Amino acid sequence: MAKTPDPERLELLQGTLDMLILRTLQWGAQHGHGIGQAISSQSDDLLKVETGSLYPALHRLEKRGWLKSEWGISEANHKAKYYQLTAAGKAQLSRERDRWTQLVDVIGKIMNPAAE
Amino acid sequence: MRPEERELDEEIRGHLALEIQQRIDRGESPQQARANALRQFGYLPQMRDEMRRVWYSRWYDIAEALVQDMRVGLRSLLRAKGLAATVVITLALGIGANAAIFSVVRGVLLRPLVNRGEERLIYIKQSAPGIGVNSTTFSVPEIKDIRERSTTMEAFGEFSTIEFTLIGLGDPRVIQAGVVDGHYFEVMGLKPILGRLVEPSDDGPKAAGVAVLTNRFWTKSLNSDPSVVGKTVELGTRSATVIGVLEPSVPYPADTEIIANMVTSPHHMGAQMTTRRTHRMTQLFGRLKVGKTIDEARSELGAIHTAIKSDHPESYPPRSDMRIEVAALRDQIAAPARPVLLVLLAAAGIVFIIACSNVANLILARSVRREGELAIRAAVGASRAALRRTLLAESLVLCGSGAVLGILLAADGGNRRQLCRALFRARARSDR
Repeated sequence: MAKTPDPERLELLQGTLDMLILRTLQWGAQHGHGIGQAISSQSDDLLKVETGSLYPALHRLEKRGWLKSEWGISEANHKAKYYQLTAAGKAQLSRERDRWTQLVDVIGKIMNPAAE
Repeated sequence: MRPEERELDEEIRGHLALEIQQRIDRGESPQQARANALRQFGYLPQMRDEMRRVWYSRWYDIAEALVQDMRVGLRSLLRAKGLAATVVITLALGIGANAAIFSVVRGVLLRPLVNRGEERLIYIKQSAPGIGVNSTTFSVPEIKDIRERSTTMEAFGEFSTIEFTLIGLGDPRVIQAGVVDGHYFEVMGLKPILGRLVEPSDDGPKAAGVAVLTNRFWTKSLNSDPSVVGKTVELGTRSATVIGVLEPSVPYPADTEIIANMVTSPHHMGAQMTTRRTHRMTQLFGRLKVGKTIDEARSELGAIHTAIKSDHPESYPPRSDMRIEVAALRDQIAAPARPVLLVLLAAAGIVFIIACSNVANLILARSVRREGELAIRAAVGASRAALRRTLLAESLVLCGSGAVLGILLAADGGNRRQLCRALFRARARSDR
């Protein structure tokens, strides 16, 4: 009887990174390095995305069909793989955004009841 | 390398190029930028591992489920130790016997000889069925005739055995030695692993005595001592210089300690040996010319043999009905062992079938006893597939451990090699 992987803990971490990646790519195609930098600069360098989890996440998203990739030439004049949102990826992004807003709301309600 | 791995490498290089570029733009020196970029990137193998999990996630899931099932299986088998031990030992014996026999079959019947160009290497045999002699071997005048008349053969090699008193290597003692002409090793396609072998320049009564050590003698009795090459030893009344060590090869036609050139044996130089047609003591090997077949050689040598017989009727009495036979060396070596080995192989196969049916019976009996347990599992929600998977995993644990134990039993390589050697030696003896 196989153990089903513990959903809550991993989902949150992975799901968040996936959502951030999708969100970053909303502005157009970008390579892995650019995605990582965009995330950290937009969070005022508070979020650091490890390359060790960024690339697996990119490949996972591509495998699910939310991203597609293409080889191009980067600013450093070197081959780089550019990732781009697919239609399914856009739909997924809006789903995740809704879920995230909901989650933040709910948790906010519990943590700060006085604000109501 | 798989394409996805190559692409990942390319992607990583692209990433590093960007990082380095940015760092240089920020004012770091190129070396520093490179080192920092690499450091920041993190530990590559771990990332690769991570990537594989993404690429082959399905397989990872299956493997995980299987491991889990096997763990459960192992636990349930630990509750039935007697049965588990019986099954594992039965399987181990069956598998061990088969693996051991098969490796001998492979060594003797299937694996090619070390001899270079062994497909052109043939063994020539003279027999006298009229007086019940399986192999009369050849005399020097006979070989001379065959050598002069044959056109299908590139070269002939001669080998005969003789006893020498050996002084100078280990304790003085009487040994079996091979005595060969200068073409023998070239015909046999054998190489030295040290020094050189007997060559045509070592032929003739004026040559210096030289001796080659067989690989087994060198490794077993002389501890593979390389300084032995160049030493002078006494072989009976003559002396010989050790010129080299032979590569490991099938000890055919005879398992000897050394192989020397003709001049070391006074007997081989004597008139009786060189002129008497009936003084037969030499084994004859031949190497086919490129493009000639063994059938051509067989018919040619047959014709030559008939001609020799009519030229010298006094040496070939009709009563003995002497014949010449030609066989590929590999068949000549392996043929007598073949029936024995095939019988052993069949026996091992039958033993294995019996072992398997015993195991099947035991497992079946256990399953019947477990019906209650399985019913409970099904009742609490295990699907049919899940039940099947646990049972399968249990069997895998059983036969896996049986196989490991069986292979350990069979892996006793030394004994196997001895068995091969014993077969060859029995062969060499039956020819003499």
